[in-house]
Amino acid sequence: MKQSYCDILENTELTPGTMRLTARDAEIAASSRPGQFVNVLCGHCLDPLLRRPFSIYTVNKERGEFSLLYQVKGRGTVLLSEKEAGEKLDVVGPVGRPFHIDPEENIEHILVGGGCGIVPLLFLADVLREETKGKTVVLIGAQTAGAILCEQEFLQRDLPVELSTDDGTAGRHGFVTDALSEHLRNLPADVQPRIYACGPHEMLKGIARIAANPQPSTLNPQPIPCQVSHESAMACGFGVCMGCAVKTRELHCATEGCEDWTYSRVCVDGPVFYTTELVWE
Amino acid sequence: MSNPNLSVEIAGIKMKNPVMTASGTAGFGAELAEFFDLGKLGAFVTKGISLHPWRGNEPPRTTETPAGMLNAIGLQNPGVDAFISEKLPFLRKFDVPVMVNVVGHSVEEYVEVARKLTDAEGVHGLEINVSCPNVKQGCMVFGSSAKGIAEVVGAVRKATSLPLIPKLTPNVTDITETARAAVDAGADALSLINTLLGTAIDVKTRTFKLSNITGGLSGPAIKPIALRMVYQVSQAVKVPVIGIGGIMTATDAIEFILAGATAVQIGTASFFNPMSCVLIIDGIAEYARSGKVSDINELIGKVQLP
Ligand SMILES: Cc1cc2nc3c(=O)[nH]c(=O)nc-3n(C[C@H](O)[C@H](O)[C@H](O)COP(=O)(O)OP(=O)(O)OC[C@H]3O[C@@H](n4cnc5c(N)ncnc54)[C@H](O)[C@@H]3O)c2cc1C
Ligand SMILES: Cc1cc2nc3c(=O)[nH]c(=O)nc-3n(C[C@H](O)[C@H](O)[C@H](O)COP(=O)(O)O)c2cc1C
Ligand code: FES
Repeated sequence: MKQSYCDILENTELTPGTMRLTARDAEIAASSRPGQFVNVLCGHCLDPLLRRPFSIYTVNKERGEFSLLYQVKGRGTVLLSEKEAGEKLDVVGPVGRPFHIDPEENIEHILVGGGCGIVPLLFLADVLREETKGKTVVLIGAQTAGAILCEQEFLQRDLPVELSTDDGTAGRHGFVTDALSEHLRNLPADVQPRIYACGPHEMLKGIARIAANPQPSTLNPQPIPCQVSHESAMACGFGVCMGCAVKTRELHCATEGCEDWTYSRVCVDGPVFYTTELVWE
Repeated sequence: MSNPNLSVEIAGIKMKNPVMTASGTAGFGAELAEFFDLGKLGAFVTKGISLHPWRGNEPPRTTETPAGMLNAIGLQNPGVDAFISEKLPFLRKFDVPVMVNVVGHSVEEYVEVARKLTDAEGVHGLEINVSCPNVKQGCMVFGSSAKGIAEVVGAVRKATSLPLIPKLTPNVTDITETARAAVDAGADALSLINTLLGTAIDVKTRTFKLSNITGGLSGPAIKPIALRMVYQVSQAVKVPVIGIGGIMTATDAIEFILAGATAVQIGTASFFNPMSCVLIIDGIAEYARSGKVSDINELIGKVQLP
């Protein structure tokens, strides 16, 4: 974690309201892990005051570059979208606990992204390919066909992609959670699934439920290790303010039904958590 | 010109320079230490510490406001015993005085925490937080009246020989009243200001943006108020004053020193840039050098009347 002024190499609109920003910083590129994020100063004066968190989207270690994929939403991201190649970007990062990666064989890595939550999963797919022998599949969910992000990027990497849209305009008609349940039902018995998810809270909640109790009739009735990247409003974004609190089970009782919980920090204790570590309300 | 003297002294605590962290904006040091050597600071002030662990308020706990932010953390902290065994050893590794911010629901709790910290190794001073607006019991309830602040400070004074620095709330009609009461009860110095009570509403959902409804306002938005109060208090009392509130740059820090502050604390600025404390220390040195000030102490309270 460090503060630096990176060179912006490009900041381009991919689809209306979605931008990709690529910047050069050898240290950030070398030290980032999938699931980590950077905190970006979007403005140029004291208002808006706070940095905005963005997941690391891709990393090119050889070139010392990293990129972000972001949606233009409010004041901060509007200002960010106005920055141009050649300008500096004031960044703090990489921040947070990344996805834990299990390098063993016979594992199927199931990446589930809803909406903008797909962003950290592309970097994850790249690292899974480099560091593991397992197979990777991608399940993408969006409200409608136009809101699907990153499908091409995963296909270019020869990864199987399954789409779900709430309105049926692309892929399967329904929630990505249904696609996940079905995928797990059809999984061969000797394959161990691992789930990695990022997206809206309701989606993550549904995935946590599936991971805890995959259809009892399947060949994999035991709980599936499942990691989710959690979002929360942040103030400091590096672990000092306790502003980004999320309810977690005390480590000594990460069991179902345990009442003992504490508030952890999304920014540095997360943003990635195992679903069994979080208190789902 | 040779390097100007930046060292100052507060209640017998010698500091390399007048820049300290503000409580609750630097945790217990581990995270900031990734950005710079904590030994560069004048002093390190911890998050508020209570007798027992406090869970803090339900989220959302923070929201951004124009040139500032509201927080209602609710003093989440591990409690004094865990602080001493798990957090303090890390801070002892650095060449920096450590001041512990002390909170409590009752006078007895303040006293008990102060006792435990007095026996611990590596605590140089106690900042008595009678000004946090985000807990329902204690804290700002004490700091809002001369009687309440005198009660807490007087009781803690009897329990410890450590330097005592009550931290004042701006949410009072006349801050010089509580300031004088704290000094009469035995304060060695005063810190001010804590956050100003405020709120924010989301018009889309028609709900409050903080689960606690109200929160404490900090950041550049509060600087003029903080500066005015530091000026008033330093005129009213003889003990050193530590200026806090919206300090973002060395220029801001110098304003507080000219108004009467012996030292300053950097809070929300560290969220804007984790390197803020170091940048401000360097900036103060540069200001002194270019203004031919050989000793920063020469500037304390030297603002001229119009
Ligand atoms: C760990 C993490 C990773 C993220 N990764 C991405 C990403 O890769 N791409 C992307 O487009 N967005 C991402 N977000 C969300 C992004 O930070 C917000 O969209 C952004 O802060 C909105 O800022 P704004 O000023 O444009 O919006 P405003 O709504 O004007 O912001 C106002 C305030 O709300 C906060 N805020 C608003 N929405 C969010 C949110 N969803 N999460 C956290 N804080 C929020 C802002 O930080 C700010 O303080 C991520 C959030 C987190 C916590
Ligand atoms: C997130 C946050 C947490 C804080 N926690 C504490 C605390 O535990 N004890 C305390 O005395 N003040 C606390 N404060 C108040 C600051 O120490 C400081 O007095 C105030 O923020 C004004 O300074 P600033 O504008 O530089 O931030 C907190 C402030 C913020 C923003
Ligand atoms: S945002 Fe400050 S601790 Fe996480």
